[in-house]
Amino acid sequence: MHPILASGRRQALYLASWALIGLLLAVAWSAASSRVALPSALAVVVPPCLLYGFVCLSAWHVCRAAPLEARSVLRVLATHAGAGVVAALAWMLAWEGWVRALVGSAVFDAGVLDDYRARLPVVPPAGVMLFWLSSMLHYLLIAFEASRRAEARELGLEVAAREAELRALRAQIDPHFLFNSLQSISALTSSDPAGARRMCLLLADFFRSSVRLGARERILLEQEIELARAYLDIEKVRFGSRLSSEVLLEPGCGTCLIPPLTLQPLVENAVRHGIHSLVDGGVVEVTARCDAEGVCLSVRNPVDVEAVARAGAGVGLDNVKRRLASAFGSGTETRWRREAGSFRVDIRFPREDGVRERAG
Amino acid sequence: MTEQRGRRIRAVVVDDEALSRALILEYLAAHPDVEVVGECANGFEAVRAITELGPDLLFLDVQMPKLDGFEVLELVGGNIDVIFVTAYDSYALRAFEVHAVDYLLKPFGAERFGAALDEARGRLARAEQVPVAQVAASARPRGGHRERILIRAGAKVEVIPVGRIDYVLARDDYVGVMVGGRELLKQQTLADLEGQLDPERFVRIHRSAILNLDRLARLELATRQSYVAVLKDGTELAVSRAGYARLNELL
Repeated sequence: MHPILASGRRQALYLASWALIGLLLAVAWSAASSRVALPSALAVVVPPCLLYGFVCLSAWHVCRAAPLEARSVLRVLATHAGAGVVAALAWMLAWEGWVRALVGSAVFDAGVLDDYRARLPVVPPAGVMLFWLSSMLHYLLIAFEASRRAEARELGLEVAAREAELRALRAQIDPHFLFNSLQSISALTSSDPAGARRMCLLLADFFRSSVRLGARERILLEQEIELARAYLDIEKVRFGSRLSSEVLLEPGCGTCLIPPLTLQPLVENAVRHGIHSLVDGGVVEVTARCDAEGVCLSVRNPVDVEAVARAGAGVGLDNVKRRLASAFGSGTETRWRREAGSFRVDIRFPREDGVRERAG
Repeated sequence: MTEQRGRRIRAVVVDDEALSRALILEYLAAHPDVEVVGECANGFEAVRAITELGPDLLFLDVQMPKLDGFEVLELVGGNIDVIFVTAYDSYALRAFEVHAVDYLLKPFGAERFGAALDEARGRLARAEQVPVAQVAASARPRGGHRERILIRAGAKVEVIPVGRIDYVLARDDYVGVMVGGRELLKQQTLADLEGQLDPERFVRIHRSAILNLDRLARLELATRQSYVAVLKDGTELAVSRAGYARLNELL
């Protein structure tokens, strides 16, 4: 699409510029020659100028046929020289036609005609110059459009890449959690049918909320804590007395916002790498605190002192770190350390407050 | 279902989750030819039970406290049929490398369980045995180096993180693993163990010795041609010419 015709605003600006050129030429002409009054000069000059404006729009095709980056300079100049001469000749013909049409009208007397004839030789070089000016304008517009397109493409790519990263980072519930839970239900159906049913309901509740909340960008901290509690309740069925938990949400922090399922992988790790590796299990401690600026979450679990730290345990934590960084930018912190017999993860991110949904 | 043979199949159930063990026992109740002689909740218990009870069949979880299922198998050797029971399908390949009878993915039903049991009956009837070395070799995670080695004395298991090993000596059919002045015997060849250890940290300095590089204090010229490695605790170990070349390359 032609860069000027494509936009009404540009068309208006372009025509206004040509009208201005016509106006200036007319003023200059009437000032230079005593025989030509300004109204006559305007009547003679402005219409051919506007017409030439349209002719010069064709410079776009010339610019496209001779792109600056692809052709040699000489060929570009030759192309424009040719096109400029043709356009200028056409312009001169247009002047002639217009002047003939004006002969005999009120604004056009013999004096004006003589002066016009005297000055006619100026028209072709001026036409060539104006055409080249238009060429330059078109090259500028083409470059401008190209850079805008590239920018948009880059932006689009950036958005796509970011979305892909977020998708990859979106915490997911470990499917083995489901398989193990189903195994527990299967075992309970004969020995403790009521327990099996309770487990089914716990699982259903957990998955319903994790799907519902997981689709959002941010959820309330109290919702995230509730998810962690539900998860631990299910794992308690599986691990029996080996797993107990202490979940603490400091008063006043419930409405802080958190990307959904941020705490979840930490609690999952605590059970999988901590409790699961211990014969007697232990306590998973989850603590959520906040102050005016930030929110602090910590998850602590016992670990087997003798176990060699397994490679790969840090991958889940790196994911949490990257997710927080992409959700909050800077100002987030993820730290973990292993001390004698325990493993502790602390995360900190800026505080933003949300509102509770109305229960309905 | 196969005909009941003269001898009942003696089975041990190993799973750290009580519910999962209970389910296996429940399924087994329908198979009177199988007698459960032991139930274990972790790797150490499993090694002890298998050593002391000598069962024919093992229901074995993979992820457990203390030792994982593969480590248990490495320690008890190969003359036992194993049905793996796990929620993870990622161990299946390794399971079949140790000639597992079957690989049950949790949750599984009674029919699938019965099919695995039929397969085990068939194998027991044919008295097939699994080569020990193969079991030991595949207990190691693929492509990686061992982070700990396992040593069994009777029913007792020692788990030694490799960083605690000072050096290892060849002792006929065994290797003597030196840990803080103690020597622990393990049935393995030195070359086999050498292949399992990280070559950046453990160097075969002699036909009969592997050295933990961290323990090396200095090298001394013993004769005109041969060197001895002096360890930080003063121990001196002979270094062969090839061993000296390997050490030079790393230091």
